Amino acid sequence: MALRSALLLEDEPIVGFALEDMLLELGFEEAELATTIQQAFEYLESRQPDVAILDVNIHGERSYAVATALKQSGIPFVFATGYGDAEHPQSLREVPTLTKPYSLSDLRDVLAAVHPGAANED
Amino acid sequence: MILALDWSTSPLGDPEGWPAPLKSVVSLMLNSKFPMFVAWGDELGFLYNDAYAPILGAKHPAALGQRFEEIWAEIWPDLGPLVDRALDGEASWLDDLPLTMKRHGYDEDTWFTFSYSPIRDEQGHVRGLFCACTETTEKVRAVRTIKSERERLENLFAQAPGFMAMVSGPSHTFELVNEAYQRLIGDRTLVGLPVREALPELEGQGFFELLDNVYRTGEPFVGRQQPLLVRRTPDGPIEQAYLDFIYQPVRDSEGAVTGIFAEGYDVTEQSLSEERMATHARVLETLNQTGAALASELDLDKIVQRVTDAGVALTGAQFGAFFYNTVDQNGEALVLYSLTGADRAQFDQFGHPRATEVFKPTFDGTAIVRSDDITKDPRYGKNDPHFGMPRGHLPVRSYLAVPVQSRTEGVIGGLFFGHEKPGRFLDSHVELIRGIAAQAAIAFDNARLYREAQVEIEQRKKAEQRQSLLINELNHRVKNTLAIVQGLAQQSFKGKLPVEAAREAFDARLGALAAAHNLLTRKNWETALLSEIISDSVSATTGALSSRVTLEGSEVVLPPQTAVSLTMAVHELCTNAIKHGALSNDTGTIAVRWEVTPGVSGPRLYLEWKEAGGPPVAAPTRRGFGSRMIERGLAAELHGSVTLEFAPDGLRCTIDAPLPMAA
Repeated sequence: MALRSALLLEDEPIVGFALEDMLLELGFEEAELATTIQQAFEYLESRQPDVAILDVNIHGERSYAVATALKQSGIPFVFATGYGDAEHPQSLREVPTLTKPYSLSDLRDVLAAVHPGAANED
Repeated sequence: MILALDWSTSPLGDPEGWPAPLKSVVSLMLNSKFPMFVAWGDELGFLYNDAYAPILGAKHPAALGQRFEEIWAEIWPDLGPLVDRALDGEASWLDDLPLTMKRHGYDEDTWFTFSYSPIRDEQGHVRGLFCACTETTEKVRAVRTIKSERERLENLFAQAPGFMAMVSGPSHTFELVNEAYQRLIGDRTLVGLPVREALPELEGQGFFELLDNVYRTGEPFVGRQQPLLVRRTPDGPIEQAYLDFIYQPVRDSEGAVTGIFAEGYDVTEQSLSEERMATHARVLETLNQTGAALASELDLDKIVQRVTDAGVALTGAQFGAFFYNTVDQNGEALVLYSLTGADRAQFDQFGHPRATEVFKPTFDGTAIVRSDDITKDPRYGKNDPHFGMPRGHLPVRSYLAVPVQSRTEGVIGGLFFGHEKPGRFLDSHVELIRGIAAQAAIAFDNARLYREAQVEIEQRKKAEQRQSLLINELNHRVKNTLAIVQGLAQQSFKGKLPVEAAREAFDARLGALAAAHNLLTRKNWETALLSEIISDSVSATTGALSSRVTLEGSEVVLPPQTAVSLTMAVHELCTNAIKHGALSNDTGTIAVRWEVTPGVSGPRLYLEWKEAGGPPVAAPTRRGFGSRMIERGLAAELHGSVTLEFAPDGLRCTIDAPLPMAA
């Protein structure tokens, strides 16, 4: 059960593009880049991605509302943040966190952790 | 005995030949048991009876019939004149005449009571004398012993260290007083006066009642350290004294109480010194407790209350207060801070005390003010509005005010003590309060240092928190920037470009990113101007060619986070212009225009990048990072639409987006 689609929430386009490229490299067919929390919710209204990668700080706002929605929908997700010591809320404490900057293999490992079988195809 | 004597040696001759009067006197004498003698004739021959013999001592019996003068030769100077008087016909009587006799072989003091009577012959001529005598030596000695005993007792009584007095009768009339008693009550006349008349100031102190009681019941009374207010000199003040004494009833032979013997000691010094010791101990205790409490107290209110309480305890004041030295708009005033012995409401109604002549020395810290009666002080009552104490003020006569002076802050305030009775505060109280004030000042300094230290610690904590936040934020930004650099690198090197060209593009993009950061740093990461973002990016990318780029538009303030995307997009446009567009030849120009227009849902930003004069434009065969950054990245950042139009006469890029709101 390979992962095919991903939602990326990242307010810095250059970083978002790099993440898009990494996911395509990991075999994803679709990587939707949302640069605002509103865009992320809009996307989730019509689509159900296999996984989501959420930057924690989006234009000064935390992305925990999106995270909670994903959790309720049963969509696996990880956080990405530049804050080394980010303290997530109690309910999101178990969510794996990628620390920026992260490499392709960091991304592969964290996706494997939330969704076994994610990156072991081909 | 007389009959047995050999009369041949006597000047009297044989008794047979004695004249009748002599015979009859001798007969009388011999029949008497009372010591008697007769001396007869020109040579005063000595005849005596048996009762007289012991008086003669060793002179008996040889004395019988011998000459009077020879027998009593040792006392003849005393007797001679008396004998002569008797022989002149004059009788004499002597009472307890002292005579130094030598009748047992040594000089002996003796006393005699006797009479000499002339004896006449038939013709009426005095021929001899008759003496009836009794030796009173023992009686005299006994009287003398009694007398000296009495004198000794009188001396003891008079000079006894304790006081003694004897009063008699139901009104306790003084019979005897000794010197100590006189000293006790001043040299007043006492003897003969009833006690109530002699010592009127004792009325109401219980002593008269005690005397009455002892007299009535016959029960002695013992008093220990009884306080007594008494005049120690006739015109002197009434002083406090303390007595240990006993009232002992004196009875007559029937057992009825006739008087009272009072005896005792003036223990005033001892009592006062005990009292002083106790006071001293209490003072030390209070000072000690206050000192210890102040040393450990850092709360100003508590320090002030403790100091006021201690002051009241040490001075015996009725009320004490601490006034804080503060400056109000009218100059200096003292603010009430703590009170002991009075209700705060009693002070509140009078407002702040002004720096009047009474209060000024305390405000200034120039002097301690002590007054036995402040209402009589020349400084008192000179000022508006009260000219003295306001109506309804606590009644203050005795007044003591001591400034509390810090070494670093000047006069902190003043300690004030009052009592409604005059003359309550002594020099010793001033010293104590001075000490308390010094301790208080130190405590104030400590508390202030503590408070300052607390503020400093608090500030440091806040600074550390801020610093921690800043470091965290910096860490975040650095990591975000690194992520951007990573993204730039990834996209610069991923295509089919030669490594050299890819590296050149990457370096240029890093340069643009650095320009964006410079701009943001310059603006403290708060805001950025659209014109600045574009011109900085153009300058960083095109260098001298930037003179061919014209900017036109009103000032638009943008939030900082848009700066990076916009800078990178402009950078990509410039790069393209240098490689393929208007800046690739010597004549092309770029016009950048923008305007803000009101829209249905808020103002909108419209921007146009228009190239002209460059070589003919052909649409690129491959879309790279530049297009992606401009068309998607910038559009996403601005939540608007960005279009790239490769028109043959020049590339055109347009932005239509809601005006991003700067924070």
